[in-house]
Amino acid sequence: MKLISHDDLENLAIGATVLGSGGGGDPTYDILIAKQSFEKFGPVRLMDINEVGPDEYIAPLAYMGAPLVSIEKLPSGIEFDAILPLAEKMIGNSIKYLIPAEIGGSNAFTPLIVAASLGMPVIDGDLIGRAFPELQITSSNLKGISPSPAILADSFGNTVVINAKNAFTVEEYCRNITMSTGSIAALCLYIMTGQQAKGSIIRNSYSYAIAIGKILRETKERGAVAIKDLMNYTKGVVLDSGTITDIDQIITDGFLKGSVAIKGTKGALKIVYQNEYLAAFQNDKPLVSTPDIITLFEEESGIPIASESLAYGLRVIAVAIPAPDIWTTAEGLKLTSPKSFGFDFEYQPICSRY
Amino acid sequence: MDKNYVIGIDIGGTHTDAVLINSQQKIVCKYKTKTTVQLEDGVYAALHQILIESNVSNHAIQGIFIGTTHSTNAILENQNLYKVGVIRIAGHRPDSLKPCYGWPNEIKDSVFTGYETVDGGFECDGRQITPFNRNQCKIAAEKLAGRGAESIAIVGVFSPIMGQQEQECADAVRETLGSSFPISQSSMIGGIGFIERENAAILNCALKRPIVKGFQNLERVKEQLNLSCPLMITQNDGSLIDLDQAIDHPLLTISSGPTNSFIGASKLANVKNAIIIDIGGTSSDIGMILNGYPKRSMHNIKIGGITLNFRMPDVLALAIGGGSYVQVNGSELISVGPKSCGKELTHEAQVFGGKSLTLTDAACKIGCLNIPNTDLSNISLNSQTAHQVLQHVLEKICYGVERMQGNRTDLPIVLVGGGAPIALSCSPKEIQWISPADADVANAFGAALAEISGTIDNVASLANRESTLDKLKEEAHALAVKQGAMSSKTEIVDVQIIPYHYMPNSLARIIVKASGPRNTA
Repeated sequence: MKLISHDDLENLAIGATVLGSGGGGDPTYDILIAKQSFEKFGPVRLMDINEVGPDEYIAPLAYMGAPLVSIEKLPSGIEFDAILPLAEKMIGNSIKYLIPAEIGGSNAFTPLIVAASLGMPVIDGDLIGRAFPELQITSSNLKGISPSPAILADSFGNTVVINAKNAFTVEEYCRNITMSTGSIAALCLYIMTGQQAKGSIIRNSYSYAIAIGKILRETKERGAVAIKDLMNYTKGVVLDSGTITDIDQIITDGFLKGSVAIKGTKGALKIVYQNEYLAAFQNDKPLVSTPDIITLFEEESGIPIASESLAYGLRVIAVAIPAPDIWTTAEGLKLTSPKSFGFDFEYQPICSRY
Repeated sequence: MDKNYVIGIDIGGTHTDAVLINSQQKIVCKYKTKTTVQLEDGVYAALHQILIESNVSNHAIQGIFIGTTHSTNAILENQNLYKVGVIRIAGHRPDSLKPCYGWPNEIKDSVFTGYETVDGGFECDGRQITPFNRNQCKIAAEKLAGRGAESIAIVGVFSPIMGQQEQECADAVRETLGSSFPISQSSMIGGIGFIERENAAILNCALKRPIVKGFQNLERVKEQLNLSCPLMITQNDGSLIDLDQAIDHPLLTISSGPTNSFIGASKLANVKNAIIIDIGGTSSDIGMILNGYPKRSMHNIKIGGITLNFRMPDVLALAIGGGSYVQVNGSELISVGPKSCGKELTHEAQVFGGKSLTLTDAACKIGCLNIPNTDLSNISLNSQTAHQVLQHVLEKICYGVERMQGNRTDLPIVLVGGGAPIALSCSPKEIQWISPADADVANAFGAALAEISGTIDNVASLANRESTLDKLKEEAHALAVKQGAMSSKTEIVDVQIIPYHYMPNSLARIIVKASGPRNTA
């Protein structure tokens, strides 16, 4: 067990954005909200999964929707108030721990903010190891843990409970409800016991994200130098650098979908996204793709940029970081390969190509 | 006879500088005067003197371009700002993040008087979050005014796409508090990003007191001097806006001072890549010039500790200038700045016979600065402490330079501004700092070189994306050229596409801006 400090929050914001692969939401506001609640309620305890009893319940939390909405329609702060009591009623047991459904982007902060006000501990782990746009893409689903009951709430505290037979149906129903709540909703799903968690979650996600943030924040020479240090640490590769010349994006079907064009030093670089950056093309040829983590950094500052914060004329460095191991297995790729997102090419791990 | 002169003016916290440049962009004439309490008096004096000294006909002057650090200084010094109340149009009541959270306490305490949330705001798909209610806006306005708000900032959810509720709310506030009550609507000053846009609207409101009247009087100065050329204000990105826009949106001028001085400095020193240090009377700015343009940043732009999502030059502002007050206890140094005597330097500083101890006094005491006809015996500081003061200032500047240059330690370091000699004489031996001729008016020179821009703000269908964007880019380019930019050097500097996510035919609000140097042919 350790306490999450103010400095950890700063590092986490940067690290979670890197792992967010453009999606998961820009945590700029979430870190402010987290600081606000840490000031009010004290810091949150971060626990290792081995400290959790086999029969104790853990609730994964997240916001679902289009990241762009989260920087306009801020939370009211009561979204999760109704969710947790309802979840406890549904499972007939009390929930002892929270965990982020995804470590990527602002969702890294979601359980921390809720946990602070409730005095609950948070588990050092998550269900994805990065950010992915759809609810079936989780380690819990791969390991056969039921996503139901899935509980959604809007910013007024109205709730919906979904009991569906498989994760794809949960995704479909939740997505439709999320669209009707303005393309953003609070969500709890894949509620599990300590025993189930030990066999399924991706461990130490907070520690990893905080370490990434620390490298980027503490390298004295910011920008390209810090990113090189980060590539050494994560075994990632720099794809190219250049200027953003077009951003084509729209909120549709509850996602932020689009593509960003970069005039790079090695030619035209195009990155296609559905909340997260899914594939990068160099001169129209596939370069890297999901499940590897594609991330853009502002060149001068070395700050990672979420898809909703891209801007014309920004000078960026594009990188790819190896995917969490679970997603490159044959089973994992069924959920995360480029083909599963509608592209017509196969996944080629970055380590095999650089 | 050259008929293509431009006058550039920089209104700093301490001095108002003016330069006259010819069509070759060479300085023909320069003049430095004190910044006056009424902004326009200093501008009048400078213009008047330039016209007399240069003997150039009024008709040969094509434009007067003014840059000012007034807005930045007002925020940094936290002086003379309006107290601001905030109305949020957000039916879901986003109290998880309250206005001004994370602001430095000092400015928050003096500016922010509270907020009210009213029903309304939009979802991304165009539905109202809750039904907008004009009457709630009136009640909110009364409550905020009752708590001391002297101006009101209005911010609605998704207002950059749908601004009508902010407009209706502004009307309701005016009906309640009077038609001249100062108001800022966030959709007119910022893009997507609720908190940064709210911050921008609040600061824009707060700035209306120190800025508006001075700007309004500038038009009269032109008439008094019988000048018929346009008078424009430089904004953050180095391009010009007209006076009316600057009066409504003083925040747009907030970083123009550094932009001007960085561009001016690089042209004076004839370098395209450099670290620039501009030491003024009130503050010092450190920045970087890359390929002749200030290095810009989008992320983490902060003014006085407040986050904004503007395109601005990446500036490190230090509250240290020639007029900074120096506090000592006996021979022990306590502080330099952040308060400065600013435009009162020649009354207040001891070297001029005044009572206050300033950085200028310390510099004069040890010979870093020589001001004719002044008396060093008035300075209540021994040489040893004066050295300490200069050492302290140099350390702060060096730290700033180090942070700005990152791994670009190869770049030359150019010193400009009225306080440049102070730093030059004590610059570290291992690095040669450069201070070019006319460094004292780099800022005004930069203003004279300001770019002409054209902005197209349109709603269009992106069904044929490339051809539509190309057409709008051409229009922006043509507009900039029509307004006087050089066609061959005009470039598209910004494209913002804000899609109406729920509308068919890919309708979007598209803002395209082209900018280029003034055509002098």
